Amino acid sequence: MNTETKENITIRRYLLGLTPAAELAAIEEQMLRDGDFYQEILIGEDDLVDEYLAEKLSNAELEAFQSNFMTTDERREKLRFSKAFKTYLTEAATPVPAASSAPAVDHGRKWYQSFFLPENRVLAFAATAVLLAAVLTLSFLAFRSSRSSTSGGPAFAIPLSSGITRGDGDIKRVSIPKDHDLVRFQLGVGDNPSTNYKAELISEGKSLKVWDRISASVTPNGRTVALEMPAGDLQPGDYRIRLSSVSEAGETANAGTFPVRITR
Amino acid sequence: MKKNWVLTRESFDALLAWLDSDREVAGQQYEAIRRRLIKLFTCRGCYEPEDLADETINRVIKKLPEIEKEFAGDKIRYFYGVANKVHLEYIRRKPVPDLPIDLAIDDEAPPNLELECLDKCIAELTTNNQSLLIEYYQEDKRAKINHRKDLAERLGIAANALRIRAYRLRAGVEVCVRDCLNHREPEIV
Repeated sequence: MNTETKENITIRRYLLGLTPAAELAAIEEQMLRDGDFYQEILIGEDDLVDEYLAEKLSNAELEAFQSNFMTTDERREKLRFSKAFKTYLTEAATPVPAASSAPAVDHGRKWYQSFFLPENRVLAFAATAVLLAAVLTLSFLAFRSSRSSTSGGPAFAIPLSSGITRGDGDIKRVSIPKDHDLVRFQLGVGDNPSTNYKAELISEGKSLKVWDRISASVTPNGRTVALEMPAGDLQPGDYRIRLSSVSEAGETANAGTFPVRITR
Repeated sequence: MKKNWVLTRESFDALLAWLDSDREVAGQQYEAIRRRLIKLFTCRGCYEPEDLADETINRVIKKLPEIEKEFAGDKIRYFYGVANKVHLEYIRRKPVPDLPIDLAIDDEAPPNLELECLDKCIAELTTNNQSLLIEYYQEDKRAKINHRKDLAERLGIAANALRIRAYRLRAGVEVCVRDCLNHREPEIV
């Protein structure tokens, strides 16, 4: 462990250009000769850039980082990537159920599987009946709620296409009329053949709302996925809707990101 | 190096044969040496690390007819010696300029394009790898050590194996994002 820490310190000093001249040749030769050591240097580069972005470098390290480390286009690209990655991680940091956030490490039977053991079949039937009743009740409530929420007027439709936007000029601007209580985002999915989607509304790196088990429908504008939400929940600002297709096995794949700016 | 010297297929094959009798192994060694030479020149603050790495290899190739029969030394050390010479000449030829260091990027939000590509590339990973990548890099440094230790325990692997696995995932995503940006940028100009 101590050796590993010592190696990390050596690599860090090397990357920052702070290695004494007498030690330099040994480090460089080791890098040329030893694939594991070379890999440690690559990992050290990522760590250093992350610490720079997190403003964790000391003054001396910061000076060395700027003058000795950030000297090539490749490293500038790495900084750019790491910045975007950090933003992505901030967005991903929103709470998700533990089962989906944790890597699928199988520590044995999952809790719900015990319901289906032969000795627990009565329990399974009872649980299924309760679950079914709950689903029906929730569906009825959701249906009633959606009807009442539209009473102030029809849903205001916002068609969006998956956008590559390079700046503010490209983002779709939408003003929601006051007489609409409900907004319906219509996300064009083009030729995506998936029948099951999941969508997430994100603003300023925070997940605001998630829609699960949504299907696409054919409209005059092609296949679209419709997402509804109360207009009052959309404050003026920039939003992104991240759409994922969900396979039967539960694997998700990116189906596009839909930026939109609500101006009121 | 003589200006009229040109790298030929035969001379490159001779380098591979010198590195290893198995051509495939030799090819891997060549790739590894080149990558590491690029990193070496990068770490020395050279602005054209790839050119200097290629120059180093070319000089070794050029020298081969003279040395290959009797050479019994350490080939890596030989490359290293040539790299030092190339670097010295580089410094003499091209004094290190005071290039403005463009770090303005860290004051800006990443463009949507970059985040789009990142979304796409991470979505291409398996669900398990997505979780691993995000969990590994998500925590703030203070909590990182314990968090990563817990993660390694949950995965049933050593902390260092987790570190390498996470790095490789990140490196793969980085390459994917770079390709994605190169592929997409001309479309929207």
